[in-house]
Amino acid sequence: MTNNRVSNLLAAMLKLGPPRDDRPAPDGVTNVAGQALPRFGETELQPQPVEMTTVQHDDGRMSQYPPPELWDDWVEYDGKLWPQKVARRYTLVPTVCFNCESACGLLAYVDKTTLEIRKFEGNPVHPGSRGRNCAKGPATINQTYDPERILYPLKRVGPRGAGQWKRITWDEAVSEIAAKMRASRQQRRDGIVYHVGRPGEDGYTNRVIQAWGVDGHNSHTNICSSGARAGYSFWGGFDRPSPDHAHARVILLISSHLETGHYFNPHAQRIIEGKMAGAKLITFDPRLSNTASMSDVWLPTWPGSESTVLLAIANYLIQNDLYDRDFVRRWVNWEETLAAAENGELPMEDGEWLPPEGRAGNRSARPDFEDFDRLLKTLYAEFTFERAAEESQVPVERIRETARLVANCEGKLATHTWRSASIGNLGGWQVARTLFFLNVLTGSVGNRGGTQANEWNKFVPKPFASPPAFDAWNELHLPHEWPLAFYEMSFLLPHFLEEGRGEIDVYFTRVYNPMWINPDGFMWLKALKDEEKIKCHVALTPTWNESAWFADYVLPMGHAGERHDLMSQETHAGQWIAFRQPVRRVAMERAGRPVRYTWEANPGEVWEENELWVELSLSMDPDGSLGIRRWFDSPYRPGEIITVDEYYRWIFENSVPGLPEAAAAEGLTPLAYMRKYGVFEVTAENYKPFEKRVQGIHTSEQRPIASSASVRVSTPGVQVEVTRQTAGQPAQPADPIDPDLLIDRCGRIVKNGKAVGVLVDGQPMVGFATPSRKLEFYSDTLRRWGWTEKEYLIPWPLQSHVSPENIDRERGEMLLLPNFRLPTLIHTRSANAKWLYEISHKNPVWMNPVDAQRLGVSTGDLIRVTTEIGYFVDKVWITEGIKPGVIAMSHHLGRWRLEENTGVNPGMSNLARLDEDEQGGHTLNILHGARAWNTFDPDTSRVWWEDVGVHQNLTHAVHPDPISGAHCWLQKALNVRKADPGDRHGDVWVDTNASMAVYREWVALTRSAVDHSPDGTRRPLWLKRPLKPVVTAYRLPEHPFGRNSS
Amino acid sequence: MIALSPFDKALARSRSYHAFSRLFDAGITPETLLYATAIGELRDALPEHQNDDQSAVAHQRLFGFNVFAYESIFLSPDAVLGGSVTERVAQFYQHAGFKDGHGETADHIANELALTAFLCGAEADAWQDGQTGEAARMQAVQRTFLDNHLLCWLPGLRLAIQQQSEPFYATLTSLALEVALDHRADLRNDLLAPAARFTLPAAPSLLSSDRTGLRDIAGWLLTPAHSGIYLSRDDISRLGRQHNLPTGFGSRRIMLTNLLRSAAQFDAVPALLAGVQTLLTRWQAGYVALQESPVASARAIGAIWLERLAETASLLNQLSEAAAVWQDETVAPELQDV
Repeated sequence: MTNNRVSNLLAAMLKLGPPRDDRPAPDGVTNVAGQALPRFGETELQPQPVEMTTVQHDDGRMSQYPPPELWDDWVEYDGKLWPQKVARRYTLVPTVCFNCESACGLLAYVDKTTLEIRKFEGNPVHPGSRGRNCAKGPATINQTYDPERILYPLKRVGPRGAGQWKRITWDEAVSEIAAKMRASRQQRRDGIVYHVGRPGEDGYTNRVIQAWGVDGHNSHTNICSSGARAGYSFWGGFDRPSPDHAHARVILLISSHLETGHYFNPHAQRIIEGKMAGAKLITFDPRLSNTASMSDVWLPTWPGSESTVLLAIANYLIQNDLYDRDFVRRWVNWEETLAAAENGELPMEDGEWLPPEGRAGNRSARPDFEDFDRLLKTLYAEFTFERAAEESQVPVERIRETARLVANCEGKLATHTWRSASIGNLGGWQVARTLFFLNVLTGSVGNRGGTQANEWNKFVPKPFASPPAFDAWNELHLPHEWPLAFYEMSFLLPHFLEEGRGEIDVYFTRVYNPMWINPDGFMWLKALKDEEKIKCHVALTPTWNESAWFADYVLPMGHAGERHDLMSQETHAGQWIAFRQPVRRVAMERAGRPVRYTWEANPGEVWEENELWVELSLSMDPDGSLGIRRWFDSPYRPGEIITVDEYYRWIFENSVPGLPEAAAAEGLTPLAYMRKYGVFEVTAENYKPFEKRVQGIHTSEQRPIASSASVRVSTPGVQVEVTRQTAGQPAQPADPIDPDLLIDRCGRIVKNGKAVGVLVDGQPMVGFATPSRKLEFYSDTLRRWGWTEKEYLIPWPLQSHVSPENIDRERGEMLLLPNFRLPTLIHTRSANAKWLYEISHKNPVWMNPVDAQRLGVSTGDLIRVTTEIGYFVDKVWITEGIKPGVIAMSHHLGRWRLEENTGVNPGMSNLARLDEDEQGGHTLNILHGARAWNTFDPDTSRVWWEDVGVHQNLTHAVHPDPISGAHCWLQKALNVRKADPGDRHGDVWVDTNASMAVYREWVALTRSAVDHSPDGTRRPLWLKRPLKPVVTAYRLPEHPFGRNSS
Repeated sequence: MIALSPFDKALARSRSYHAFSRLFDAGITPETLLYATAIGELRDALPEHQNDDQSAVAHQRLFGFNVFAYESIFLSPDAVLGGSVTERVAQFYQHAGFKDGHGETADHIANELALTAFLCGAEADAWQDGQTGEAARMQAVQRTFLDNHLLCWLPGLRLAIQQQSEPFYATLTSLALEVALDHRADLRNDLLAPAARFTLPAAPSLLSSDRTGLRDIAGWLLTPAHSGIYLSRDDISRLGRQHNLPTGFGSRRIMLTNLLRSAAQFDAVPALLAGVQTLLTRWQAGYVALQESPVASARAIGAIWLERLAETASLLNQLSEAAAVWQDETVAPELQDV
């Protein structure tokens, strides 16, 4: 049919080859992010054959990277134009991913002509990620060129929340906000709050807050990890585990964390390495997660029963003498435990355990380890496999198999729990404690293939000068009811404000979306709208979010390639430090174009906090009268203001061991080295640092070690009777005796009133950061602060608020597991990454077929889930991957916006309407789901999905654990049924009166420091806080909230 | 004749439409010259001593001053940019997952050709992947777009450009139409539901109103959806020159109104309308030629345009007759437009 003329034309076009991007390339620098897609220059240079840096992935893939010596000037063909050979010329700038807390290395390809960023790949020299990145890293390019990103500082012009904004300059923003901060600081030291989600940096902002002299740090820890942190802290004084997966024989995970959240990538690759070397993988999870599906043993435990299962395994080790007796003898505070058992401080059932014959009442008789062995056997005998099977609803054989595997781990048991059970349940902190008990029993602590402490593997350098501790205590962060919380009771801030506990002068939310991510979001809505309680809200964010909508100022902050930060994480048994960089700025500087402020190089006027904090602080204290300004003086140019280069230069030159030498070996300054590589490995391996010898002490046979079971270990800072060390021969000539070191009666090595080590078998060792400097099986701290029952004092199960006894399945109640993760999303950070949203964008309710049959629903049906405070409507997904009686939802999704064309991206959010009835009833109705929309990026018009999930968190009642302070995420679903006729997907209704009622029920579970503090302080001094005030600030207030002033 | 596989044909069409799109969008530039020289007819039509500046001037003169190559100009009842016609095109793009990227509105010829290139490219991908179902689906989308949009006005655009003194673009438009017709001939009609039948908005009843003025007549003639023809500034100027009548300058509507007023003033209305009739005849010839196309939908589209041209011819005759009467008497007050 085709005529000759057309036929010839078509043939000619075939010969011509594919169309090329023939629009003229810019002939100079452009900066179009947020306004257009980037364009790239063409070079006459041709790629040269070089030996690439090759990374072999665990799944068999292989990546190749340009060798670092060519990063400064790299030529490669444009793959999109293949088979045409169009060469582009790049400068490769390393940076650090900002999409979770793993701090994986990225390598930005910055076009030398336009300085636009072509792509982000992995950084092959990064010791944590090793060039192997998850989807979130490369998706940084989506965020950089996101059409909806905020490019300029904005100030609201209408009522708060009305969505009316005007653009202001940075000068205006800084001066206006700083004036409010100054006014607050002049009046009080708890009026400024910096509320951070994931910090994504180590130390910079904390130093700034400390310089302000306020108790202003607030975090998201209580909705994330505080349960696990408490469990680990009571054991060893460190608040995170760092498993050495790659060398383990057995890996035991309590999900959902590793496979679906941060540390996912650096840990996952090492889990696979461990498995490849023969390790067995065991996963506890009521949901068939990615990791569970890859495990040798999957235990779908009923939430809250994990501790019982773990103790059944522990009991198997104990009763069969399969535990590492020597490790336990050397490193567990068994003497203190026995003493507590004997004097009744560790309550025992009648006949449960008696002191050995001849010891009862004889305080001079020394206990021995056999007594402790007998105590363990007595204490844990009740934890049989059968009991564990019954409580967990897992086949007994599977638990037995798990125990056998653990028993055969040969001291190489890598374990991890972070969120999930430890943050899900009332008493979830005991999950971490009972899990680590297995590490202790198998001797898998700090050794190769075992589990380390985070701080042994995470390196945080000191800056050039540290402001002193502040003299303040913010009652809105750590109120007296939760003296042991890890850390600030952040998710209860609106409830505290509602109760009238205080107000905030200047509230910074930093890459944090509290209304969306926290439970009980309508309480947050109330608080954010109340200009009397939150007088000024400044949202520091790269993109719109639900909370920023209710801000007074929205200040655009940079993504991974647009900011400076230092980061380190405990990815494995080594230590490294990584340097996040504004890659355009670095590229400009490499090209000889100096940049004073990072916003000059970033898209629009997107800035970075590092420089903003300096300017804010200076503006807050223009004359230095508040004592703030001096902390921002340059360490190199006295009297002048520090630059961001100088800040990091000083750290790299003075605080990172080995870096100056490594840099010198390449003829670079330390700063230039870090700008080039983006990372430095401080220590390749760091096993058992707790066995490190304390320098300056020498024991001799003549010196009595006055360890006694009758002596209670005291809180550091309170010196007990001590024995001065005798002068013996130093072990090494380079180890002179330190006369300030003392040994107390507990065998602790004390310096200036602070325990710095412990004698173990007569050897002075650093030990752990606990009061006893040992691993604390028995916690005297908990006892002293009022938690005197056995189930708190030692590893023991605590009954969860969602234990089978509390869920009446006969009445249709179910357990809602609302906090599992998807590996390609990170809460509110990923809604501006189109690739990530195309992969996963909806969060249907997982339901077992047994429950589906009972309710008469099938996949895709709408169901209504009623919680303690309201309900939501979502689609259901029927799967055997969830335990009967449990429903589950991912908590990343359900983003919304209130205006069609402003707010969260139209393709990643629902258009919603908020209503309230003035009597506590709040509704969120979805007007429509995601839609394609037209921008300069053609992909936005290709959005093909509509369902972007349901914002379930709004319907979650707050459940503050009385000890750890964790929000116990698991929800009691009072009713789950087919949706009502009028229900629409995404509908949410909540009664905030019910919110407050549930809140009060949980407050009633606490044991206040006012009633239980042993020494008139608010919190044990030795427990961590992100920023600690001066010791005197720990004194209990004269008029605690809720108590009569009399 | 060269036999091409379905994959090759889709790929070649995609590249052809892409090349046409780029040439309409940017004109002859160092970058697009590649396309112009790859196609014999275009190569032959290239100006002999063209340089970049002259090419840019020619492109601007044709598309920025004379022929506004937008579907809305040709098909909407008010002949202005944007509005429901543009919106429908944009909607189509959205459904197809295509984003126009030429800085023009969605219904610009470059964008519509780019979309067709995109659809053919998707079809080629589907053939290459062995997804015949997807290839058929892409063909159905192509057919819908050709029938509902591109082929409805590309013939008119071709005729409009042929009146101008730009042989290169006249050739380019002819080739584009030829490829589109050939393409449409390859697409089965039963791929999906039948395409909506092409219609034109009803023309205003100029002669039934006492208030019809020169501006209304000019507006009618300048609205292709009503008159069936397109008059560029150069066309209007030529008409003026032919009859020694001034047109002034400004928008086409001002120019044509001026021309009509001058004609009335100088008793040249019948002669001027005869000149318009001559133009009309060329347009009719063009659409008659379209009746020879093997593509039924194109023939149907052509027939509708012919119908409209016949109405216009009739109206022009009536106006001419009336003008002859008025010419004998005096200038009718209703023609005393300003």
